[in-house]
Amino acid sequence: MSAMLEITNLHVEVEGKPILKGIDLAVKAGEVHAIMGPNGSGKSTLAYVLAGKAGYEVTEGSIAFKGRDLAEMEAHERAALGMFLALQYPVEIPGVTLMTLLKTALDAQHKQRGRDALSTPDFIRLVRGKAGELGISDEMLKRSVNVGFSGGEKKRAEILQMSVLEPSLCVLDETDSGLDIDALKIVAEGVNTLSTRQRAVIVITHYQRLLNHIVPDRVHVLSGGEIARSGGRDLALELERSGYEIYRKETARMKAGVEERS
Amino acid sequence: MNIPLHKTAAEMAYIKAGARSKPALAKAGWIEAGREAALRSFSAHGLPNRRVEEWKWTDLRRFLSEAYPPGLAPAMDRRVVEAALAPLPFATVECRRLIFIDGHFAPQCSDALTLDGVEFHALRDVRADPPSWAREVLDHGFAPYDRDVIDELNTLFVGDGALIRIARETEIAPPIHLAFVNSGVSARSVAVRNVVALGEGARAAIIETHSGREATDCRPYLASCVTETVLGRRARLDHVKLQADNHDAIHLSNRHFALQAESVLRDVTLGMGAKLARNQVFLKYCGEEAGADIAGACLLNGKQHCDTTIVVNHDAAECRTREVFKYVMEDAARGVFQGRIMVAPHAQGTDAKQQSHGLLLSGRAEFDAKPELEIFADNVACGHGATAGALDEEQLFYLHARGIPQTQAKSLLIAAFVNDVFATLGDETMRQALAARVQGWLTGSGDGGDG
Repeated sequence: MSAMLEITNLHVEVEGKPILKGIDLAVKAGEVHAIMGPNGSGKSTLAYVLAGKAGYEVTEGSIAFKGRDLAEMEAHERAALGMFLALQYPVEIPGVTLMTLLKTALDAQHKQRGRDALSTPDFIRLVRGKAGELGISDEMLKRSVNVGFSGGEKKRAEILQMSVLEPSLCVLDETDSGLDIDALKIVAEGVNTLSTRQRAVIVITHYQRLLNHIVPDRVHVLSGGEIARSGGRDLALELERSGYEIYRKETARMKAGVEERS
Repeated sequence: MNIPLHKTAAEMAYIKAGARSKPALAKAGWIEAGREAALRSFSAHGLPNRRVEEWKWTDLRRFLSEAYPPGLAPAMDRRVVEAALAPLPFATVECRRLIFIDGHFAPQCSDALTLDGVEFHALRDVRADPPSWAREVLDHGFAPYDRDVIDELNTLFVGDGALIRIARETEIAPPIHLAFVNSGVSARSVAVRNVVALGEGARAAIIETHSGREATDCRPYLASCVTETVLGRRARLDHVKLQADNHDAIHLSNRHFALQAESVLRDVTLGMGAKLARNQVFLKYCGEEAGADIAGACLLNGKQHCDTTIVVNHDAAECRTREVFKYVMEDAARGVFQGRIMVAPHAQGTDAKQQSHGLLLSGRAEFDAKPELEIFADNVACGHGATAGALDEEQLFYLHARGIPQTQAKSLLIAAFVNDVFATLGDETMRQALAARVQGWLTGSGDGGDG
């Protein structure tokens, strides 16, 4: 079976500066991949380039998602195709309630897929059910998106959007940052509920703590814009013990080698 | 004050027309003195240009380069009335209506003539002898400047208007809708003068709409509207103004408010029509512990120019002012906000805050804001904030990444920016009606959308 996501020799520049330098990654339906790495290794860049943020320029290589080349697709088209990015720092949108965001996004995706919009009562029933599982109150649904939300509330709101929109590929960018253990468990449960044979999950994280709750099939270490190492779940545990220092050195040595040769 | 040496052709035409304009309100003895004074002042000063400080961003002399002849009363036959009412704004909002077509009262389609607790007169019906409560307001006025050109032009050409008095301790529901419909096709100037007086403890809601047809055979017009509003002790007034004039029209508006002790005004304006709109609000606190929320939104595109100029005079202690104005500007539109708050030495305990925000959707759009605080009392809390900027890229990406296409994401953010100014209104239906107009503008149906 071909992979849901096929990243081939991906090079990405931001403001003319190379950040990703030849990433190869294949993610199949039903799999959970973890991408770990030190700060500044390009983890968030990978997340943004998958979602289609402006300013992240692919200079070489390709990303295929469900057999489609993402290069020419705008962010909303990728979302309608089943891509979802849970942001590390969810943006505050004063004046747009969480409920309005959910309804507008779901309707827009249904429209792009040629499906009828849910009726308002059906929609409200759907959202209330999923919100309840995540401990999100009706009152919070009526508040402006992320405005005045605590760190945990923001991340739960991201997971709620994910579970309402039912994407095929969930990319979680540092979703564990700033969460206490209870919030972490709620978030992880939300992700695990969604993690089915038809879906794939990419968990981007600095720490292995989240991986105790969302168990990855594959772990990749990103360093200096390249995948320095891939392995099973044990790799995450090993990183917990040894840290990223060794990969920083390796990357530095590789860079030095490249410069010597050129 | 700048006195131009040479008058423009338009200025000369207004002076001539002003001198000839007596027949418009025949036998209107009460206004003669005011009219003479206005004509003298206008003859001496003419139209303000950008060298006059209060008009530096809105060069009225340039905008009024052609004179609009005083409009004649329309025939008011069935065809005229039906054509005028077809696009009546807020048709779905429950209210009692007072309809003016091209500046003239149309009793045949108005249903607010006999409401309990409300005294109403069309100005032209009582021109010889207005009731004393209206006359008192009309004779005194309360403009803060030595002269005001909108008051002058209005006084010279006034043809009709609404005189409304709400009896003391009376609550009026549903709202009274003052609809000024401009449906004529010839170039013309239309001037209306209104008085709204709320007795002690009275409560009312007034909707004021200005609309003009956009048909291709419509020539531009100049509409001037001057309203003097008096709130008695403990009176409460909710006032909503929609300005959806024809896009080639010029809209000049003066609203004077006098607030007695403990009275409360909530005022919201949505401006989206006219090539030039100048909305002036002059508010004075005449008694302690009164309050006013003055809010507004302007939605502008093309070469539209919208100017809001507000002067709030805290002349009594313990009064509270909140001003929130938001402008959305596309293309080469220009928004102007001038807000002056004056606090007299005896107005201790004043609490006044002013905010003006411009959202620029194009590199050619312009927003000018001038907050002015003149504080002569020492125990006050006064503040202001003014911002101008584009849509937030991070917010746009967030919505975009959730599957919402770019134009829709922009509309969502613009509506969120604007609709916030309607929050002070207690009436949910009214907030929704205003939001529907905003939505209509965003989806390009412009003024067509009714709410």
